Amino acid sequence: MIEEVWITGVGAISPLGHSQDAIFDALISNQSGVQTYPEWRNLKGLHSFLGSPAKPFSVDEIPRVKRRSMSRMSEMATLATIQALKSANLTLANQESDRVLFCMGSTSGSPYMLEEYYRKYFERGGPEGQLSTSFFKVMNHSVAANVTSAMDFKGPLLAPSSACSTSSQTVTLAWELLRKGTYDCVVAGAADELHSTTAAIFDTVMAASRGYNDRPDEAPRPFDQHRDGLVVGEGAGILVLERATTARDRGARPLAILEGASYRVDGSHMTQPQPDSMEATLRNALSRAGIEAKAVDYVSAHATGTVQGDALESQAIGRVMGDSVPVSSLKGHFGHTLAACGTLEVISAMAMMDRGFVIPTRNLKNIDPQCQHLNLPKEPLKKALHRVMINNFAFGGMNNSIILRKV
Amino acid sequence: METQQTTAAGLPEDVVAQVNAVMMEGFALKADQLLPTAHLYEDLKLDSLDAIDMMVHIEDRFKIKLDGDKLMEVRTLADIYQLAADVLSKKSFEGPSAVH
Repeated sequence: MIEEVWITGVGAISPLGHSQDAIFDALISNQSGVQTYPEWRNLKGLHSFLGSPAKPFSVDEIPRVKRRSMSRMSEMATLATIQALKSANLTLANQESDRVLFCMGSTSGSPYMLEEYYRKYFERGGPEGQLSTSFFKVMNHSVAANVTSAMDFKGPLLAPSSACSTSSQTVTLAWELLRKGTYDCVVAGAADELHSTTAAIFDTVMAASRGYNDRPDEAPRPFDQHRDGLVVGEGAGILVLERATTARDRGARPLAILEGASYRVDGSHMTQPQPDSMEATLRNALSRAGIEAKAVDYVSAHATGTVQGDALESQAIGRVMGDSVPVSSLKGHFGHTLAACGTLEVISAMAMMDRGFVIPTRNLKNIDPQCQHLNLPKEPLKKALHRVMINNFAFGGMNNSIILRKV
Repeated sequence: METQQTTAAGLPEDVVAQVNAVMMEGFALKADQLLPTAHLYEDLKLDSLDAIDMMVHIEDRFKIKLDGDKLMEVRTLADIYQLAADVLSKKSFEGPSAVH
């Protein structure tokens, strides 16, 4: 039997706030998380000096012994997981269950720890003076291992990693596994931390914003004629997803239905998006949800504000979804929270469905002719949203599409 | 000649203070927990990872190199004070190049 999949819990640490309500309030009031990093101007060869840090947060509720192996991304993921489990009214500590999967990741291990480790390594000519916990911050499953350690969770754990589509992929995998009954519950999501090297990676391939360094409020500008690249951010977004049957049995209530999801890889180029492949992913998500495009009331685009990416994504959305469904990108508010963006955008889209509002793209003033065929609102739109589509893409040709239904 | 202040156990007060600072800063311990008789594992709840990091922090703070074999024998805070004081004393006697 194919099962319905419910989202029963959400948790977020982000540049716009640390709860679904705080995020929605920031979105509807057109706030931006972007700020300047003047110290990055000293880095040779870097041209983008903007970042979108998470709002300040306290780690006091994480015991020292758990925290010592965490970098910032694991701290954020742990706090978001605590929130998500609480909102799902679920306790998983010390339960040895094969029915619950933790599935979370990040783009890489901690860039801060990598920098610190290798700086000391080269300065001292070897590993002298390295802390015992360094590796636990840089290993690729650092977020997943640290969160489960902090939660005292003793069941199955997977740590997918696909850069900016990481959290979206964990949700898609959760959908695949839950609907077939492989697990009753999946705690899914991802986190990433802001570091100058992340800005540098995008800057090197001409994908980071360079022209708004003195006007952080005006970047990034998804779909805008004067967009010039993305702004790197950070955060964590965690969802609790459950099989409807077992969730109902334990008295849980759905916050939204995860109706379908799909991931596909271009299999061609590392950085150049392929509209055909995006289109196939979107169509596959619709097909898996068992719905037609016209049943979708809003599309949350990945659109990070890059010249090429936004235009090619617009092509794919136009081909599949037509020209009437409202489309927006939340990157103008959040910046690009990398591995966490998918689940943070799911959490935002859920809030939009609950409140019946489409959040417009921040900083969209003059729509690029290459994106003009889409319905891109510039003001908040009061609209009943029964179904939404959330798309995310990543380097390596990663494409992901998620479809939610309002409860 | 400079006179060094010592504790009742004959340990340099500065060494005790600095080791205590490492324990508070590095392992979130409170001053009243830092009794010389405190057992590192049973009383202060440190573990093997903490022991390695404690060694690194102390080495960095005093610019010394501790003997890994002797560190394995350490059980109480007083043992740590003594270990650090012994190396510092040797460093003072032989000069910095002998210990680091």
